Amino acid sequence: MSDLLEALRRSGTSILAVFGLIVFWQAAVVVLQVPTWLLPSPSAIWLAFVKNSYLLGKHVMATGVGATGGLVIGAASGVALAILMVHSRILERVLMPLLVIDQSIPKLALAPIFVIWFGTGMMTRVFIAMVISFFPMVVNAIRGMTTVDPRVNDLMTTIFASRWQILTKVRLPNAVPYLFSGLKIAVPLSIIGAVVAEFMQSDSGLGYVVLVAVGNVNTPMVFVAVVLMALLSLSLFATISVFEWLLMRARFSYLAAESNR
Amino acid sequence: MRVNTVVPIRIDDIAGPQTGEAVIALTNVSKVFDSRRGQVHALEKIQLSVRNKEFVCLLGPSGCGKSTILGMIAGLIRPSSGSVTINGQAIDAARKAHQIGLVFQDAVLLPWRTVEENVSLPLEVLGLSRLEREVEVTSVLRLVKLQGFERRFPHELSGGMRQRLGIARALSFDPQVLLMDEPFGALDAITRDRMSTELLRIWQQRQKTVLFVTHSISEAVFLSDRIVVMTARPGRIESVVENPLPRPRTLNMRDSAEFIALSRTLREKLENE
Repeated sequence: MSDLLEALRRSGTSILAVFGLIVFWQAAVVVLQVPTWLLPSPSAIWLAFVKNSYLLGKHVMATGVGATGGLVIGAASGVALAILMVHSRILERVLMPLLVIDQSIPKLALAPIFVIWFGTGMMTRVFIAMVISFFPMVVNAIRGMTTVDPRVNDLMTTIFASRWQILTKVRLPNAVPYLFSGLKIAVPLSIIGAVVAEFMQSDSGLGYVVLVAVGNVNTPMVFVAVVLMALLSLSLFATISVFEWLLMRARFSYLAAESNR
Repeated sequence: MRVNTVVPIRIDDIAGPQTGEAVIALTNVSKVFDSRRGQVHALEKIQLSVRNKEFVCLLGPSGCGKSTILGMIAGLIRPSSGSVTINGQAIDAARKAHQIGLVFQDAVLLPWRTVEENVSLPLEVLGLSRLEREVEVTSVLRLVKLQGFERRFPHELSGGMRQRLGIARALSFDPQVLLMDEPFGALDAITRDRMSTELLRIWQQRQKTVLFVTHSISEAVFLSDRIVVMTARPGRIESVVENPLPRPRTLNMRDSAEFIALSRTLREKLENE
């Protein structure tokens, strides 16, 4: 509990800074008489949010579900591929260049093709979010599974452990902190992926809200949607951080001990 | 659920070979590594046998190939020529029969596992039931005097305790052979003395065949029944010295004339190369 208070006290300055920025923004817009269609004040954005809040729930859900679904599938397939690559020299040699090529392709540029493949519904959203969150998961999973002390492998070898046992008892547990790093990188990417899918063509989601609002020159609404995207990303990130914190405290406190040194 | 379990009676003496028989045998073993500058002869024509329940030290400077010998007995390194056997069988058979326990210089524990879970790791690999594992873990942790620390994590232990844990893990599945690669090399001198005494007690209690790699003369003299002196480039056995010191050993023996004489002999052999 005292940890929480301590954390609050330390984050006090940061909260104050964000609050100060909002106040400055409001004052600047009012004093300089910036027209609302150009840059709405925070209060105008808030009003737009309150007025339309009854509509926004389903759009937040659509984007959130699409991004989360893509993230989960991308993470699972990323880890699965990493496991294959760690266990097979040949697969590693075949797949590594493909992965590098995959990472060099700006996948968002392929979004129109995905729309052709999967239509304008949830599928495209999930697919883009998956494709974009895949790479950081593969890379982190491989690193996590291969940074095992070679002598642990020696130990397992001398007692005739199977590859499956080495995977489940050594490699995967060793990769856990790395997987969380990968997830944290992938979260904002998955939101971007879902929103870009909605930009293409869609009838729901926060990307769709942005398109409609821009069409109506309803700039405050654009900002409402963007703020909601940020909050969505933040809450996904926070959920993962909570799981990470719980696991770290239970099992991986040595990492904290190392970084304190 | 921690009950006071009765330490199971060990009957390995009945089934295993009798004292005096060779457990570990290296015949004409050579190891050549290919490097960029050509071939490196790490070991040349090694003849070595370790008898049942014997404590043998491999003594030599770094680079003499003593760890390579250990690696070959553990089945981690293949000899270029010659044969390595445990109880007359190939190493793979000994691995399958779980006859080899390994102890490393800095314990090499799994940091996300507690003390009891680390000891339990080999037992899980062997497929023991939860109850069987608990019995073994309790007994072996008592043996190395780590009872009361079951739920701690390795980073919460001192260097000496981590090394005890490493030994406990190696003994958990009751292997016949214990291979130790400079296990006390990273400990301070005081802890090292204590651990040496503890190791001899554990060895006598559990009746293992031990091959212990070290570059410390006094450690070798204090612990061993026999000392294999090695020289480097290429790795060769210079000589094998019988250790006449009586058992049980105490730290005070290190001041005895016999101890000092044997130490001098070994030092001269190492300097001769």
